[in-house]
Amino acid sequence: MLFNTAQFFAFFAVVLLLFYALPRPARKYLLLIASYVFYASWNVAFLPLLATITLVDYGCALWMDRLTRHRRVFLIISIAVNLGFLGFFKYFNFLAGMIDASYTMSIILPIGISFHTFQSISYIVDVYRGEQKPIRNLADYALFIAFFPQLVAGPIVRAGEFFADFYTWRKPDAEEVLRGVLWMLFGLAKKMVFADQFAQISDSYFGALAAHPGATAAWSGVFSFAMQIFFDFSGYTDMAIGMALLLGFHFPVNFMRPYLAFSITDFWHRWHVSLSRWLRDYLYIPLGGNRSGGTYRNLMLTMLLGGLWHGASFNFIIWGGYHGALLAIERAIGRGRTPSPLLYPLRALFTFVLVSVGWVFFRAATLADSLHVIEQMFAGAWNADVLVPLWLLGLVGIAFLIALAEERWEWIERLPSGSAWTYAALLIALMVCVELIGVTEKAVPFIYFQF
Amino acid sequence: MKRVSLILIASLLGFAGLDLLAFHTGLYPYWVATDSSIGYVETVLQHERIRQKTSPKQILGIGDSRMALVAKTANALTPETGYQFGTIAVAGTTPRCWYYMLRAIDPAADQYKAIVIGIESYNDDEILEDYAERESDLNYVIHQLSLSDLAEFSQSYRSPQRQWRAASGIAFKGLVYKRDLQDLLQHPIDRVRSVRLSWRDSHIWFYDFRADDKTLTGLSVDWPNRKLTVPPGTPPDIETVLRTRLVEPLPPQTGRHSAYLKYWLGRIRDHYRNSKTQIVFARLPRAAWIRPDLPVNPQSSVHELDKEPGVTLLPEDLFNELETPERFHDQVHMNQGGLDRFTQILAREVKSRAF
Repeated sequence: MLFNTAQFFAFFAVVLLLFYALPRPARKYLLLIASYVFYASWNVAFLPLLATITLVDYGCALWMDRLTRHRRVFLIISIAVNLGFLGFFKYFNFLAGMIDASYTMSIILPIGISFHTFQSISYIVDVYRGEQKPIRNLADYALFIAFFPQLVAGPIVRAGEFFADFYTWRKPDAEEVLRGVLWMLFGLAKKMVFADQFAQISDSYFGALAAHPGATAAWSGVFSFAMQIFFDFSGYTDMAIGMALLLGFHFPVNFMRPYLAFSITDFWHRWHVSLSRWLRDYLYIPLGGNRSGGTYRNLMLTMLLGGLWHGASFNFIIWGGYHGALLAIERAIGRGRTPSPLLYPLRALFTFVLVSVGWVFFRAATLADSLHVIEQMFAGAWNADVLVPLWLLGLVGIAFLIALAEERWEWIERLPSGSAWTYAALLIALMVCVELIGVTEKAVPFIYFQF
Repeated sequence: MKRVSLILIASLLGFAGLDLLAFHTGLYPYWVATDSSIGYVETVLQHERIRQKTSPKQILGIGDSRMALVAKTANALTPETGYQFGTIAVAGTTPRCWYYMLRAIDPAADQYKAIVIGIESYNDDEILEDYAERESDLNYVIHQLSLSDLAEFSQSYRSPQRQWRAASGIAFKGLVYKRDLQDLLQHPIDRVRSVRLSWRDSHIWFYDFRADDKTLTGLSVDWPNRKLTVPPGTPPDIETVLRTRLVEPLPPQTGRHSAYLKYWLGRIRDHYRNSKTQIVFARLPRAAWIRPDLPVNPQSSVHELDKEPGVTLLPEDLFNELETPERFHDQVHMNQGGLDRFTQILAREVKSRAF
């Protein structure tokens, strides 16, 4: 059940209606059932896996709370179970293939496993650290892990954030409802109007590299993928945030106009914020963080593992390593401060180019393909093979202006509390865009659903 | 919350209103590419609307690309026959489209003496393609569909996905016009130029159109051995289709196609029920060679309709003389000589029946 289908909207509408129709104590059970139905709609066979992880973490947290000694044993059991499942489903074939291709097996990756594993680990570590009280009601905890708006691709929500909303739940007010609807529609437009249009270009480029030689095609293809992945993932997240808001939950912002970043460090403060935060709190800092001597090693390790989290291939490791190296270089040369308004556009453009080069490793099927694209980008001939249609570039221009205005004035944030006419006009414009420009012939899966 | 509901409802209404204004009126359809499915049907219907009808005895032909009525040839015989001919046959259309096209061109069912519908068989022979599931029908007739057609048109598909696509497409026509709109955004000036030119002159191009003069002379079939010999130089794709149609086993007769034809030809009949217009079915020349194992079905759609007043089946063998390699230029289409001869036979048959 993809977010960008009529089937999902019907499902969500039913859930929303029942949620507000039922008495309050029954609502969490409704959300839990709906979340499991949503998960089962992908592959019912993995429901026991989700239930097992939930039970193990729930039990380990309770045991940790009871004990004063040997708490670490339950922390290790929980993390081992989580990483064990993740490792088997996601990395077994990668590792086995490195030894001998005949050792590989036919393994289907359970949807969202990378996300709910990180969410589970954050919970168990927080309980171990004493930053989070263990959840005593199994249904409450199960809902935290399986909550359908963010189950398959985040944002990675911390237990503290989720349960703060959950235990002090209040009905969303009028402004929140308007904001929720706006987020959902913004997300849908990002996905169907931008991501899916650019997907056609990047797929045709990366799917037939030999057919598009030269630098023009290479930059077109890479630019298209840069647009696709941003609009795809941030579109999904916007929808998740909007849906949660309509149900009375407040998810953290996951994207803050990352292509306006003036450095790679700034980029990672704006891109997939919930993952960056997770990596910082549960990997980078435990590794030693900024303490002298290990900063660069820790940065590199964190980004390499962050790359590997995305997928089991050398391309993802290189992508992570590339960003780790850039972060280390920036730290070494002191590029952290915001540049002057005059320099900002140049720095932002340079950062965008650096990020786009990284996307090549993220998107290309093999390392050889990645190197071929990089070679074409920087040594290929410039010709007329521009793959991006002019009207789509025009749309990107409009999106860029919207992003600039949002960066400066946060006008989208303030819109639901402002003029009803402006709000309605924006909603109509978004609906018209989805209708006329969105790819509606087929539901294109979200990129991050594969992770 | 009342304010929220009002804002959301107003937004939805605003969106629906914009779609209605742009796509349910002639505002956008006028600018549709004339070589697209939507644009082609619109162009053909527009030609028929502006055709000078000097005689009260009007005959209209309809069908797909195999409908071989050439209006220019038929009208050259008007002094002899007394009838004036027009055609709204469009390649790729199906009986479902024909119903909506006829309804659009003749809403009161009082414009024509007869509607001649060209069909391939009087026996509802099963075909490989399931016409009921043909998605492109929506693109051909989207401009002719109104909200009141939503239920019937979408329910005529079997698969829920196609039903949904048809229903949402009729409700929000922008969903169907979007490809065309994106193409317009890509080449706006070229589009405006070509559309203007087409609206001005295309009726002349269409009227003067000449089909291919090539023939399939040299084609032969050794039926007992199911061996096909094609003329030298026949393109491989045409040879493949010829083989499928002429020597390979026929699809099983499941009645699926018959049910489809009964429904949509019946809808055409319903439109003209109690009118003075005669519905005439003409079995078209089928191919350059006719296989001997074609099914016979006395309960077929047209045989059933033939029992009703106002419906005429032209003799099944009326055009048999044209089913030769010399009259065809590919697997199903006749060459210009074949078309002219077909038209002459048809025009004289119409005269003899005095509709």
